[in-house]
Amino acid sequence: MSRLQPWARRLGTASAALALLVLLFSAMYLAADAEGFGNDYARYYPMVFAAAALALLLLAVAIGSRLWKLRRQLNERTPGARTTRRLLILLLVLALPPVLLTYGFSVRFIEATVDTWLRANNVPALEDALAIARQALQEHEAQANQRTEQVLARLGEAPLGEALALEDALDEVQAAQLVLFEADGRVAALAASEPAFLLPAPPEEDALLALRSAGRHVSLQRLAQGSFVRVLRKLPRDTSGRHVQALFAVPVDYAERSERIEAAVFGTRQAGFLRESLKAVFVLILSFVVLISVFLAVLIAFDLARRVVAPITRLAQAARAVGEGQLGQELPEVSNDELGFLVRAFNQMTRELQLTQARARTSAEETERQRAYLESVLSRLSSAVLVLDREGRLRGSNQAADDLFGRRLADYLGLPLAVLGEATSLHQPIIDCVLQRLQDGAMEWRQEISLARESERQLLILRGAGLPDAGQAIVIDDTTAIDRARRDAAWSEVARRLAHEVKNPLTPIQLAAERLRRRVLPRLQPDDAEVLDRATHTIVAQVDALKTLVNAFGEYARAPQLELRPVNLNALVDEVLDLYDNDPRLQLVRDLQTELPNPRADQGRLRQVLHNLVKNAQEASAERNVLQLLVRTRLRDDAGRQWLDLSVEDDGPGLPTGFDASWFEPYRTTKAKGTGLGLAIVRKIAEEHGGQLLAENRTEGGARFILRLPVGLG
Amino acid sequence: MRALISRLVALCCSLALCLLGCSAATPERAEILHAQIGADGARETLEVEQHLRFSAIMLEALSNGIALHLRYELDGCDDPQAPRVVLTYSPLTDEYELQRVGAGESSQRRFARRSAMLAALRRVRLPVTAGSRDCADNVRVSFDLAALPTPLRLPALIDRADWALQSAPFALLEANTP
Repeated sequence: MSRLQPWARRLGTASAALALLVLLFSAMYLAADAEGFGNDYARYYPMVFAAAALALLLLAVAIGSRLWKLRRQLNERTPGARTTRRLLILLLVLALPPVLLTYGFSVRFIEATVDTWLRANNVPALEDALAIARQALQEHEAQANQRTEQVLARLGEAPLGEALALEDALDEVQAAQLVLFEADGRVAALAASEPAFLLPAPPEEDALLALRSAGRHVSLQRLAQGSFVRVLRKLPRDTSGRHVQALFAVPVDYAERSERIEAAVFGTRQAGFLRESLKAVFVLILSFVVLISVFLAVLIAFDLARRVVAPITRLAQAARAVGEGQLGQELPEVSNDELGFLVRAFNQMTRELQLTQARARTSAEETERQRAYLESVLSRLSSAVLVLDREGRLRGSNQAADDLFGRRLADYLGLPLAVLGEATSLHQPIIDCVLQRLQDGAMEWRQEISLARESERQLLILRGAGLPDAGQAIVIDDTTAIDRARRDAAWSEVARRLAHEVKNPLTPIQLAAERLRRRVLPRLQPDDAEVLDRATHTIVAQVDALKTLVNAFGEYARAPQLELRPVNLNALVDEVLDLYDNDPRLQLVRDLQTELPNPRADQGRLRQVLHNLVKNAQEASAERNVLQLLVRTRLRDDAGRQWLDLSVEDDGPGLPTGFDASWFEPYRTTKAKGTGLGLAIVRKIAEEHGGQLLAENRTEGGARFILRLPVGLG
Repeated sequence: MRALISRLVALCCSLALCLLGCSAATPERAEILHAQIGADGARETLEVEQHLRFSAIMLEALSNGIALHLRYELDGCDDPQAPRVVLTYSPLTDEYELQRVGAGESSQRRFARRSAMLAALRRVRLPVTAGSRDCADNVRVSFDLAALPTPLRLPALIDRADWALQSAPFALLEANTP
């Protein structure tokens, strides 16, 4: 059963109150009427009992329903049910014993009191009094009968003057009334002592019957004028059926006393007869009252328990709801006692909790915004970021870290960093460095390390910063490109200065050497002339070499001014290679893919790239008489982006040991001749076009250089 | 005390049963054999021939000065002065009295012996309110518990075996019916 509706609760309360009132009034009515021997409302007795019984039944039902509800609440472990039971038992233990004790003693008291009240020890005395009164009455009757005989005698002596005889006899026998009736009941003669007796009352049939059977009938008559002895006698020697009725007044004091004795005997006999019934009624009324008290005590106990427990129950339910996260619990503050104080404290607590929760929610939202912002920044950061806890376990990373380590670091969250090191030996130096710093407990640190990658050495700058929870945030910057750019800029500056500072004096030197040779040589002796000739020749040759070197540096240092337009790469390759077709030291092979897209590029610069690569192959294989050169064009698709590869392969000695990206820097060469700028210029041109220069050894021997250009690049 | 409690419990239990059945007839103890309303001039009387059997406790109550009331209810008439017979005992004269009450009148008959009074009760003539002959259909006689002294009412109400006396309704005969 769910909770009772308010209207049902009110109906139950009203029914109980009504039943109580009915029971109370019924008991009061019975109590008020119990000792009475009759009343005008006696006919309502059954209804009163029925109402009382119904009221008791209603109260019992009300109590039963409450007990049933309490039992169910106990089974369901409803908050407050056990306290209600405890309180109920306590209150009943306090209330019932006095009531039951009072009941027991009251019953005993009723028994004793009624017995005392209706003590039977005076009954014999009353019976004796009654016997005396009867004897006196019989004497009165005997005297009356005797006087009536005198009347009859006088009537017999005067048969013609019956009326007069009655008048005479009335005074003689001191009768109140003398009447001579005919056989048919008519009045033959009448004598009365008072006018009130002038109207005779004929004897009843029963009296006449007794008269006829016994010849006389004597009885006591209570009339309005008092008590009288009535004597009926037949007339002697009269066969007509006439009879005399004589009324003799009973003395007043005797009449009154005899009536009192009769009333006392009556009352005593009635009381004796009614004693047990009276006790039963008294006990029944008392039982009603006790039942009222008991039921009332139970109902009051229920109500008190409910009043005491209800706030606690509400408090428990509200506390449970708060525990489940429903903080909007506001309890009514109905009392001003300790419970009221507790309720107010609870309400204040829930309000504080709501405020705190609101603040926490706002803070959490702010934190979440900050985290999303930080995550967004980190994800877009080119620097790799690792967050470690105090034990060196990975707590977070960004996309750049994934790119650096070449794996998804989210899979390593919560794992020690050493596990990541075991997974990627290439990055072991990073792991070792970080773990070492963690072990040292450094709060702020910075360290540069280099990783040996396949194509080049990767320069990394690691910076660590301690976190408040003793963890570390590691930021890793890849400075390889920066470093290379810095070096390229330095080389460009050197080349530019060389071109500017060295190239300018070379022409005067060469002109001076030639003038010296032209003017002095003819005038010198043969021996001196030969020396001068070799010297000037050497000067001119070296100046040419210097010019070549300076021009190369100038070319390298030249600012990129590309004239981009669609280039047919295959046609360009054919055009350049045609220049080398007649070179006996080269065996050219073309492997050109047809239907290539035309990249936008500077045609002259691409031509220079191809020349440099061919020349680089020739110089690298200078000791070979014939060098096989394979030039290949291919369209390459790399993750949805198209590239054009122009590769130059030779069957020479291959790349030098330890070849890496640094070999594309200026002045890195293994050749005796050469400026050391060829590959540097090729890489620079490749980068100016948004492409790259790659180098690798061929599996069948020799080296392969690849110029990779983007397709569709503006 | 225990006997008293058990008696009270029995009393309460039988009270409900009694309340349900206290209006039931007891034909074995009260039966109207003949009834009619006759006219004596302007005066109407109810003549009833009946068979009544009083219980021993009723007669004991009578001997102890408790009046026994018999009510004669005329169905169809709303008469507040329903005819009654009241039986009483006078200890001084040691006589029994049969009082007939109705229509504002009252008359008594005295008997030296109780059996005579009960025999006389077999056939009674009671004054009734004028016009009763026209409105009454049935008549029934019942012992009036409400007229008992208060302490006796509840036991009488409960103890039907001793105190219930009620006839079934008897259809009134026409006055000229033999």
